[in-house]
Amino acid sequence: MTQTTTALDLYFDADLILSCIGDLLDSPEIGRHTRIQINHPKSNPVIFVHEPVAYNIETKTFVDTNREELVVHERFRGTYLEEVVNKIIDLGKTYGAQVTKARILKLDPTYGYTYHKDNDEFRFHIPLKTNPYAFLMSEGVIERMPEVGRVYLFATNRMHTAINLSATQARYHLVFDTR
Amino acid sequence: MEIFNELQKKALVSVAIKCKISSEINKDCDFIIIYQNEELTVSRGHLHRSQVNDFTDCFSPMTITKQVYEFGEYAQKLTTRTVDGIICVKTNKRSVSPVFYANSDLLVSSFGLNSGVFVVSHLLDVAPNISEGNSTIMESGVPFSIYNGDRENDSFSLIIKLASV
Repeated sequence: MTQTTTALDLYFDADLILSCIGDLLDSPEIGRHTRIQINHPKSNPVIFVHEPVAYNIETKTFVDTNREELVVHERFRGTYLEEVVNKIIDLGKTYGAQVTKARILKLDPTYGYTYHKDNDEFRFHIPLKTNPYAFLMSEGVIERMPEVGRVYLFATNRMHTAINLSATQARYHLVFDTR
Repeated sequence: MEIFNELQKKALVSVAIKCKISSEINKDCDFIIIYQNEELTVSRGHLHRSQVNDFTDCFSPMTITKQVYEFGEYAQKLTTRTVDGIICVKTNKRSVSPVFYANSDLLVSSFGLNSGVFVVSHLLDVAPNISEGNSTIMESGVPFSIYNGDRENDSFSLIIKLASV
């Protein structure tokens, strides 16, 4: 894979996805580093994750070591969001990858993540709420995912980050890890 | 560029010492801007996150320290442009500064222990890496932010206002 961002010809209904998430987006539990897990390790059915996965300071890489089976959280079972997850799992197979975690990532206004790599080769992103001032940056190149509901493939095995320069609007992406 | 880097480093250190940055900065603040006001006293101002900030008037005569003056002089020689003023922006680790711009070109550079400092703008397709003494010129009126993606170290950047050609 040479491109960092690839817009795929696959769309979902972002409003419907957001309606499945419901008031979780406004939960007081949502902090700067909180993720909403759509699926979770079978033995740990939590919906909010506050701690990032392990970070290797030498390689600047986030490493997810979980190998436990993931199941869709009961709150989302039987919903449109579960359909989306299953379709992305099938999509992953066409790329020879296993889709693992599905999460809602909120990027606060005027905030950027650590400049880092991940230990998966690529991820699928579906923007749910975005704005012109939110973008990703990969090795010095600005990458945009402007269409809500569209599926984008983003290479995560090179140095990258996400930045939201909007003063007021948070950015929400539904993100699927792979391995 | 070695001379540029060396002078830049000295300038930033001198600013840091003069302003007693390490002891005076509010640790909860993601960023800080340091400049000299019209009364020739060192001032500090916190940027407003709620809007795009026009910093045209924040730039001061570049006389905060001898080292800053020398850095400005060299930048003038390097760019063959008159230097109108200079400010220092501290951006905390894992932070972005607010978006700001000025009504003339700006030479933006950074010096610190980290390598993940970039100038970012939603209007650009490339984010220049300004870490470790690298620099870039942002054109007049282009809003931009300094992004510090390092997890361990804060960054200090010098922004030089270049007179119109």
